[in-house]
Amino acid sequence: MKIADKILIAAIASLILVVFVFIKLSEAEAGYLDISYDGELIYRCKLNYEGSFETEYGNIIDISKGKVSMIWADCPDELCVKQGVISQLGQSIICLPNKTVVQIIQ
Amino acid sequence: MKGNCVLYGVYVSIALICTYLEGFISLPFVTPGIKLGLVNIVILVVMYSPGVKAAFAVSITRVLLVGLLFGNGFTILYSLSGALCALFIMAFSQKTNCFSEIGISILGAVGHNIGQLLVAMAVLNTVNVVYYFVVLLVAAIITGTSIGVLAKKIIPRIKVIQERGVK
Repeated sequence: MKIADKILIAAIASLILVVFVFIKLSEAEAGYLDISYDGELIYRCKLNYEGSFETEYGNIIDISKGKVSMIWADCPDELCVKQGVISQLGQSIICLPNKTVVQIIQ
Repeated sequence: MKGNCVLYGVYVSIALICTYLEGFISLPFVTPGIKLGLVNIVILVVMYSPGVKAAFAVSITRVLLVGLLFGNGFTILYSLSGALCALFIMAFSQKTNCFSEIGISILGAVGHNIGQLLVAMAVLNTVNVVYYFVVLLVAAIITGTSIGVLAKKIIPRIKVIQERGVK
Protein backbone atom coordinates (compact mmCIF):
# COMPACT_ATOMS: atom_id res chain seq x y z
CA MET A 1 0.00 0.00 0.00
CA LYS A 2 1.50 3.28 -1.10
CA ILE A 3 1.11 6.62 0.67
CA ALA A 4 -1.21 7.88 -2.08
CA ASP A 5 -3.57 4.97 -1.35
CA LYS A 6 -3.80 5.94 2.28
CA ILE A 7 -4.39 9.58 1.34
CA LEU A 8 -7.11 8.46 -1.06
CA ILE A 9 -8.89 6.41 1.60
CA ALA A 10 -8.60 9.26 4.10
CA ALA A 11 -9.93 11.74 1.52
CA ILE A 12 -12.95 9.59 0.66
CA ALA A 13 -13.63 8.90 4.34
CA SER A 14 -13.55 12.60 5.18
CA LEU A 15 -15.78 13.39 2.19
CA ILE A 16 -18.29 10.85 3.50
CA LEU A 17 -18.13 12.44 6.94
CA VAL A 18 -18.61 15.97 5.60
CA VAL A 19 -21.59 15.02 3.43
CA PHE A 20 -23.10 13.01 6.29
CA VAL A 21 -22.84 15.94 8.68
CA PHE A 22 -24.23 18.26 6.00
CA ILE A 23 -27.24 16.00 5.47
CA LYS A 24 -27.85 15.77 9.21
CA LEU A 25 -27.73 19.54 9.58
CA SER A 26 -29.98 20.26 6.64
CA GLU A 27 -32.49 17.70 7.93
CA ALA A 28 -32.66 19.47 11.28
CA GLU A 29 -33.19 22.85 9.64
CA ALA A 30 -35.89 21.96 7.16
CA GLY A 31 -38.94 21.78 9.41
CA TYR A 32 -42.48 23.04 9.45
CA LEU A 33 -44.21 25.80 11.29
CA ASP A 34 -47.51 25.02 12.96
CA ILE A 35 -49.95 27.68 14.12
CA SER A 36 -52.80 26.43 16.22
CA TYR A 37 -55.75 28.03 18.02
CA ASP A 38 -57.26 26.39 21.09
CA GLY A 39 -55.43 23.16 20.27
CA GLU A 40 -56.60 23.04 16.67
CA LEU A 41 -54.22 23.44 13.76
CA ILE A 42 -55.17 26.48 11.70
CA TYR A 43 -52.10 26.98 9.55
CA ARG A 44 -49.02 24.97 8.56
CA CYS A 45 -46.17 26.02 6.30
CA LYS A 46 -42.57 25.13 5.62
CA LEU A 47 -40.00 26.95 7.68
CA ASN A 48 -38.36 28.30 4.53
CA TYR A 49 -41.59 30.14 3.62
CA GLU A 50 -41.18 33.89 3.27
CA GLY A 51 -43.94 36.21 4.39
CA SER A 52 -46.43 36.81 7.16
CA PHE A 53 -49.70 35.28 8.29
CA GLU A 54 -52.57 36.94 10.09
CA THR A 55 -54.82 34.80 12.28
CA GLU A 56 -58.51 35.49 12.78
CA TYR A 57 -57.87 35.81 16.50
CA GLY A 58 -55.65 38.85 16.50
CA ASN A 59 -52.03 37.87 15.80
CA ILE A 60 -49.62 38.45 12.93
CA ILE A 61 -46.73 36.03 12.55
CA ASP A 62 -43.76 36.84 10.38
CA ILE A 63 -41.56 34.16 8.77
CA SER A 64 -38.35 35.05 7.01
CA LYS A 65 -35.10 33.14 6.43
CA GLY A 66 -36.20 30.35 8.78
CA LYS A 67 -36.80 32.80 11.63
CA VAL A 68 -40.28 33.13 13.09
CA SER A 69 -41.60 35.98 15.19
CA MET A 70 -44.90 37.39 16.37
CA ILE A 71 -44.91 40.92 15.03
CA TRP A 72 -48.32 42.05 16.21
CA ALA A 73 -50.90 40.98 18.77
CA ASP A 74 -54.10 42.59 19.93
CA CYS A 75 -53.72 41.24 23.46
CA PRO A 76 -52.94 43.64 26.33
CA ASP A 77 -49.67 42.14 27.57
CA GLU A 78 -48.02 41.41 24.16
CA LEU A 79 -45.69 38.89 25.80
CA CYS A 80 -45.59 36.89 22.59
CA VAL A 81 -44.32 39.89 20.63
CA LYS A 82 -41.66 40.58 23.26
CA GLN A 83 -40.45 36.97 23.08
CA GLY A 84 -38.72 37.74 19.83
CA VAL A 85 -37.44 35.29 17.26
CA ILE A 86 -37.54 31.47 17.24
CA SER A 87 -35.78 29.27 14.69
CA GLN A 88 -34.89 25.93 16.33
CA LEU A 89 -36.84 22.71 16.31
CA GLY A 90 -39.26 22.46 19.23
CA GLN A 91 -39.29 26.17 20.06
CA SER A 92 -42.63 27.91 20.35
CA ILE A 93 -44.30 31.27 20.81
CA ILE A 94 -47.47 31.20 22.84
CA CYS A 95 -50.07 33.94 23.03
CA LEU A 96 -52.22 32.92 25.97
CA PRO A 97 -54.97 35.56 25.75
CA ASN A 98 -55.65 34.57 22.13
CA LYS A 99 -55.11 30.81 22.78
CA THR A 100 -52.66 30.83 19.87
CA VAL A 101 -49.55 28.61 19.73
CA VAL A 102 -46.81 28.94 17.11
CA GLN A 103 -44.44 25.99 17.11
CA ILE A 104 -41.59 24.71 14.96
CA ILE A 105 -41.94 21.00 14.31
CA GLN A 106 -40.06 18.49 12.19
CA MET B 1 -3.24 -7.52 -30.53
CA LYS B 2 -4.13 -10.32 -32.95
CA GLY B 3 -1.92 -12.86 -31.23
CA ASN B 4 -3.55 -12.18 -27.90
CA CYS B 5 -7.04 -13.03 -29.12
CA VAL B 6 -7.15 -16.27 -27.15
CA LEU B 7 -5.86 -14.60 -24.02
CA TYR B 8 -8.49 -11.87 -24.26
CA GLY B 9 -11.15 -14.51 -24.79
CA VAL B 10 -10.05 -16.24 -21.61
CA TYR B 11 -10.15 -12.99 -19.68
CA VAL B 12 -13.61 -12.12 -21.00
CA SER B 13 -14.92 -15.53 -19.99
CA ILE B 14 -13.39 -15.25 -16.51
CA ALA B 15 -15.03 -11.83 -16.19
CA LEU B 16 -18.37 -13.31 -17.26
CA ILE B 17 -18.07 -16.08 -14.68
CA CYS B 18 -17.20 -13.51 -12.01
CA THR B 19 -20.35 -11.55 -12.85
CA TYR B 20 -22.40 -14.75 -12.70
CA LEU B 21 -20.87 -15.84 -9.38
CA GLU B 22 -21.44 -12.43 -7.89
CA GLY B 23 -25.17 -12.96 -8.33
CA PHE B 24 -24.99 -15.68 -5.68
CA ILE B 25 -23.14 -13.58 -3.13
CA SER B 26 -25.46 -11.45 -1.06
CA LEU B 27 -23.78 -8.87 1.12
CA PRO B 28 -25.12 -8.63 4.69
CA PHE B 29 -26.12 -4.97 4.48
CA VAL B 30 -28.02 -5.17 1.26
CA THR B 31 -28.67 -1.79 -0.27
CA PRO B 32 -29.49 -1.84 -3.97
CA GLY B 33 -26.47 -1.09 -6.09
CA ILE B 34 -23.84 -2.33 -3.66
CA LYS B 35 -21.75 -5.03 -5.26
CA LEU B 36 -18.52 -6.76 -4.44
CA GLY B 37 -17.11 -6.04 -7.89
CA LEU B 38 -15.27 -9.31 -8.47
CA VAL B 39 -14.97 -8.43 -12.15
CA ASN B 40 -12.63 -5.64 -11.20
CA ILE B 41 -9.97 -8.22 -10.31
CA VAL B 42 -9.95 -9.36 -13.93
CA ILE B 43 -9.91 -5.80 -15.24
CA LEU B 44 -7.03 -4.89 -12.89
CA VAL B 45 -5.02 -7.94 -13.96
CA VAL B 46 -5.58 -7.12 -17.62
CA MET B 47 -4.62 -3.50 -17.01
CA TYR B 48 -1.31 -4.54 -15.52
CA SER B 49 -0.22 -7.29 -17.85
CA PRO B 50 -1.52 -6.82 -21.42
CA GLY B 51 -2.29 -3.13 -20.87
CA VAL B 52 -4.94 -0.44 -20.68
CA LYS B 53 -6.27 -0.91 -24.23
CA ALA B 54 -6.86 -4.58 -23.54
CA ALA B 55 -8.65 -3.69 -20.32
CA PHE B 56 -11.01 -1.43 -22.28
CA ALA B 57 -11.66 -4.18 -24.83
CA VAL B 58 -12.29 -6.88 -22.22
CA SER B 59 -14.48 -4.66 -20.07
CA ILE B 60 -16.71 -3.39 -22.87
CA THR B 61 -17.07 -6.87 -24.37
CA ARG B 62 -18.00 -8.20 -20.95
CA VAL B 63 -20.61 -5.48 -20.36
CA LEU B 64 -22.23 -6.10 -23.74
CA LEU B 65 -22.25 -9.87 -23.25
CA VAL B 66 -23.66 -9.68 -19.71
CA GLY B 67 -26.30 -7.22 -20.94
CA LEU B 68 -27.33 -9.52 -23.79
CA LEU B 69 -27.32 -12.65 -21.61
CA PHE B 70 -28.91 -11.48 -18.37
CA GLY B 71 -30.20 -7.96 -18.92
CA ASN B 72 -31.70 -5.58 -21.42
CA GLY B 73 -30.77 -2.38 -23.20
CA PHE B 74 -31.34 -0.41 -20.07
CA THR B 75 -29.00 -2.43 -17.87
CA ILE B 76 -26.38 -2.22 -20.61
CA LEU B 77 -26.62 1.55 -20.47
CA TYR B 78 -26.14 1.52 -16.68
CA SER B 79 -23.22 -0.88 -16.59
CA LEU B 80 -21.56 0.59 -19.67
CA SER B 81 -21.46 4.09 -18.21
CA GLY B 82 -20.22 2.68 -14.90
CA ALA B 83 -17.57 0.54 -16.55
CA LEU B 84 -16.33 3.31 -18.86
CA CYS B 85 -16.18 5.84 -16.05
CA ALA B 86 -14.26 3.36 -13.88
CA LEU B 87 -11.89 2.48 -16.72
CA PHE B 88 -11.03 6.09 -17.50
CA ILE B 89 -10.36 6.87 -13.85
CA MET B 90 -8.35 3.67 -13.34
CA ALA B 91 -6.30 4.18 -16.50
CA PHE B 92 -5.53 7.74 -15.51
CA SER B 93 -4.58 6.82 -11.94
CA GLN B 94 -2.34 4.02 -13.20
CA LYS B 95 -0.57 6.50 -15.49
CA THR B 96 0.18 8.85 -12.61
CA ASN B 97 2.08 5.97 -11.01
CA CYS B 98 1.43 7.01 -7.43
CA PHE B 99 -1.28 4.50 -6.56
CA SER B 100 -0.85 0.80 -5.88
CA GLU B 101 -3.40 -1.79 -7.01
CA ILE B 102 -5.47 -1.05 -3.90
CA GLY B 103 -5.83 2.65 -4.66
CA ILE B 104 -6.65 1.98 -8.30
CA SER B 105 -9.22 -0.60 -7.24
CA ILE B 106 -10.93 1.85 -4.89
CA LEU B 107 -10.92 4.52 -7.60
CA GLY B 108 -12.43 1.97 -9.97
CA ALA B 109 -15.23 1.25 -7.51
CA VAL B 110 -15.87 4.97 -7.05
CA GLY B 111 -15.81 5.42 -10.83
CA HIS B 112 -18.46 2.73 -11.22
CA ASN B 113 -20.64 4.54 -8.72
CA ILE B 114 -20.19 7.90 -10.45
CA GLY B 115 -20.97 6.52 -13.89
CA GLN B 116 -24.09 4.68 -12.77
CA LEU B 117 -25.38 7.54 -10.66
CA LEU B 118 -24.96 9.93 -13.60
CA VAL B 119 -27.23 7.70 -15.66
CA ALA B 120 -29.65 7.40 -12.73
CA MET B 121 -29.74 11.19 -12.48
CA ALA B 122 -30.44 11.54 -16.18
CA VAL B 123 -33.13 8.85 -16.16
CA LEU B 124 -34.88 9.86 -12.95
CA ASN B 125 -34.36 13.54 -13.72
CA THR B 126 -33.37 14.32 -10.15
CA VAL B 127 -30.29 15.32 -8.20
CA ASN B 128 -31.41 13.64 -4.98
CA VAL B 129 -29.47 10.47 -5.76
CA VAL B 130 -26.37 12.40 -4.70
CA TYR B 131 -27.22 11.46 -1.11
CA TYR B 132 -27.16 7.84 -2.14
CA PHE B 133 -23.64 8.38 -3.45
CA VAL B 134 -22.40 8.67 0.15
CA VAL B 135 -23.70 5.20 0.98
CA LEU B 136 -22.05 3.86 -2.15
CA LEU B 137 -18.76 5.57 -1.23
CA VAL B 138 -18.64 3.69 2.08
CA ALA B 139 -19.15 0.46 0.18
CA ALA B 140 -16.56 1.48 -2.41
CA ILE B 141 -13.83 1.83 0.22
CA ILE B 142 -14.54 -1.61 1.67
CA THR B 143 -15.04 -3.56 -1.55
CA GLY B 144 -12.37 -1.60 -3.41
CA THR B 145 -9.76 -2.37 -0.75
CA SER B 146 -10.58 -6.07 -0.59
CA ILE B 147 -10.57 -6.41 -4.39
CA GLY B 148 -7.34 -4.42 -4.55
CA VAL B 149 -5.62 -6.68 -2.01
CA LEU B 150 -6.69 -9.73 -4.02
CA ALA B 151 -5.49 -8.19 -7.27
CA LYS B 152 -2.15 -7.35 -5.68
CA LYS B 153 -1.68 -11.03 -4.82
CA ILE B 154 -2.80 -12.26 -8.22
CA ILE B 155 -1.03 -9.86 -10.60
CA PRO B 156 2.61 -10.97 -9.90
CA ARG B 157 1.63 -14.62 -10.26
CA ILE B 158 -0.10 -14.03 -13.60
CA LYS B 159 2.96 -12.12 -14.81
CA VAL B 160 5.20 -15.10 -13.98
CA ILE B 161 2.96 -17.40 -15.99
CA GLN B 162 2.96 -15.05 -18.96
CA GLU B 163 6.73 -14.68 -18.96
CA ARG B 164 7.14 -18.44 -18.90
CA GLY B 165 4.73 -18.69 -21.80
CA VAL B 166 6.82 -16.29 -23.87
CA LYS B 167 9.99 -18.30 -23.26
